[in-house]
Amino acid sequence: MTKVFRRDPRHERIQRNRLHPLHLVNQSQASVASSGTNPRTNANVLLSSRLPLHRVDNPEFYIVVVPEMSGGRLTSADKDMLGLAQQLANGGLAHDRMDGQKIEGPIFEDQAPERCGAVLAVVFTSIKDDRFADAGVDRLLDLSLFVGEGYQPEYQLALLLQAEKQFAPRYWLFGDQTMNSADLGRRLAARLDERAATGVVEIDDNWIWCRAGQSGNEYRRPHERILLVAEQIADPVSNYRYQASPVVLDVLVREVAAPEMTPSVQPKIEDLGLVAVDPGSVYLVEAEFVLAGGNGVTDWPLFHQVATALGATEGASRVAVDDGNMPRSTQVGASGTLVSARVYLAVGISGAIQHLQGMTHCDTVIAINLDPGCAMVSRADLSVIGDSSKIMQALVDSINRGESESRVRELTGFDREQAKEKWDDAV
Amino acid sequence: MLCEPLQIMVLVSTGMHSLTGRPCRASLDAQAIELALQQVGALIEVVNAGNAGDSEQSALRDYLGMGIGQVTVLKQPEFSDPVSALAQYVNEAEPDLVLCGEQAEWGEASGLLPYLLADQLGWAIVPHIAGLVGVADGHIELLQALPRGQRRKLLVKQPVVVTINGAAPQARQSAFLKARDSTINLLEFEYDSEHESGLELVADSELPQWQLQPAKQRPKRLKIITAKTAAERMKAAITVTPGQAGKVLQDTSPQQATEAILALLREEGVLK
Repeated sequence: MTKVFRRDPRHERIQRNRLHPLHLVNQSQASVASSGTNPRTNANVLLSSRLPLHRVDNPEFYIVVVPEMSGGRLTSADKDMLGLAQQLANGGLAHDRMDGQKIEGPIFEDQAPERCGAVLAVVFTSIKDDRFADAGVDRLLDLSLFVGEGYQPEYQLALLLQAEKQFAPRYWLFGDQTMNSADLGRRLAARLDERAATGVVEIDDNWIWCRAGQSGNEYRRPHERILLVAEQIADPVSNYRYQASPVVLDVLVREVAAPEMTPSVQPKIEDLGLVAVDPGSVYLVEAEFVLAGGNGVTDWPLFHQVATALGATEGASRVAVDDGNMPRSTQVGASGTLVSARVYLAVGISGAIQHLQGMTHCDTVIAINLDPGCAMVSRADLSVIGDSSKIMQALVDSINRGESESRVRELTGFDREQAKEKWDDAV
Repeated sequence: MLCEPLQIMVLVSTGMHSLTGRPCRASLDAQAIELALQQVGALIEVVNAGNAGDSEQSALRDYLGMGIGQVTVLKQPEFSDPVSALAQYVNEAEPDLVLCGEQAEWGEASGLLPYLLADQLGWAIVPHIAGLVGVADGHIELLQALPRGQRRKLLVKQPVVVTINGAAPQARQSAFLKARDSTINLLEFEYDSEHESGLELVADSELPQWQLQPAKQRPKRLKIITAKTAAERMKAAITVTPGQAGKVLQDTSPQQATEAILALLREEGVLK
């Protein structure tokens, strides 16, 4: 590659013109383009490379965050928690309770680097999405290799205690109202014999505010070292990119060198794995996949058949319930249940505003309807215009066909395995 | 029966009625009692640590109305730490299983008590339990409630402290006659540790210093817009995100429509 600096007049013109459609894209490519390499086109890469890097080389102290990590990804509550951790690490909480106004965030360039702490994220599940640098993680302690899948709180607690010894964090942050993170936080507090603050809803430089159960009151109390914070405790980070450089526990390095030196944990809890749950018995509120039927459904036995075939929890619109086709407990909407399903399949529901209110938290909506102009179709990510009975019949048929095919495939796969074993024995 | 009956101890607290704010049974603790009552042939002891005032007694009557016969109260003054007294009592009673609700309904409601208790006793602690599957040679099989209605089976060594999730079986109603005719056993303890059999009381020195105030309404964040310049804000306002305009399949055969639906369901991972 030649080192000759080449001017691109068009690019410069776009850079000067803030209103040009390519202005933002080109701005981020400015350094890349002038160095002569091919500009990358991935939007996420562009977005993150535009942000300045926040470096912490010699952290004075650590803030340890244990994110919940649902499905190998940071949840939105985890990102809020990391946002709070960055505020704590860089000496300035953004909220000021007294006048209710936001104070400008810390300016990293002006601060002496030794005043900064580092945010350390401890992750026990295998990571699927590598967005730690954008979420505000300075150091990443990935223990997923040492902890297998499943419920192993005792071993995880032992690892956290080692992290406590090695890093001596100024704060431990856990998510309250979570499955694993809150459990670990309470275990750690009990083991260290420290009083953890739970249900933290607000925090400033002097005080923290904690929920007092369901009584509608809150306690104002001094800071604690172990905090179990509620959702939306702080805004997630957005101004900087972070290092997310991996760190290791010294103990584990030593253990690899000499496994017999470290005492092993005797687990009292053994995970026997997930239990198959009948989707019909799952509460409509917490169901992951809801199949809802409305006035457009004419064949209700077929509807139940589809729900069984898809493994979906059944819901209904008000009309279907009023007509006596579905029980009242399945009604979705303002006067029924507010569902939080990830996928919502609406059959023959036109989408009255009361019904749409009940499904505001659904991520993906699929509609099967005769009327292409109805509100449900405009809300849906995928809409199929047609007769509900025919489409439901086709759904049942294709799933049953798929099942029989996969069974055949399993059988042949099994035969192949057996043949391979025989071959191995023979060799 | 050859095997010894399962000894269950249920720790209950005073609840707060969600509408009136009056003392009543705590719903999770009542569910814990319900779970214990459903175990055939188990010996159940219900224990409460509190100051046993009139209001607390009326709440305890709610539990007694479920048909547990009697409840033991470790009487303590206000602002004293119940953990050490409970730990000592549980240690002497030696149950196989200690059940309690996940979190109290008022007060600090930290949900830490079962953890501290298990740590002091050196027992295992298992949270979010929705059911008991069975007991076999010193181990107990539990059903743990996960988000999205999923369940996980755990095999835990006895003795164990278990906290009950809201997904556990619903508590039965409280019957007035049973509540009136059952007994409340008061065990009183004092701060001095002269007599060795008595339970040691530890005062909670921090809690009285905290300020209790009505909870402030905090704004809930709905959407984050990180636009810095006017151009970005304009762009965010006028662009149609993919979520707002979905794909519409019109004039397709049911088979094609089915394929599209199933493909989306597989992509979302809800279809196995």
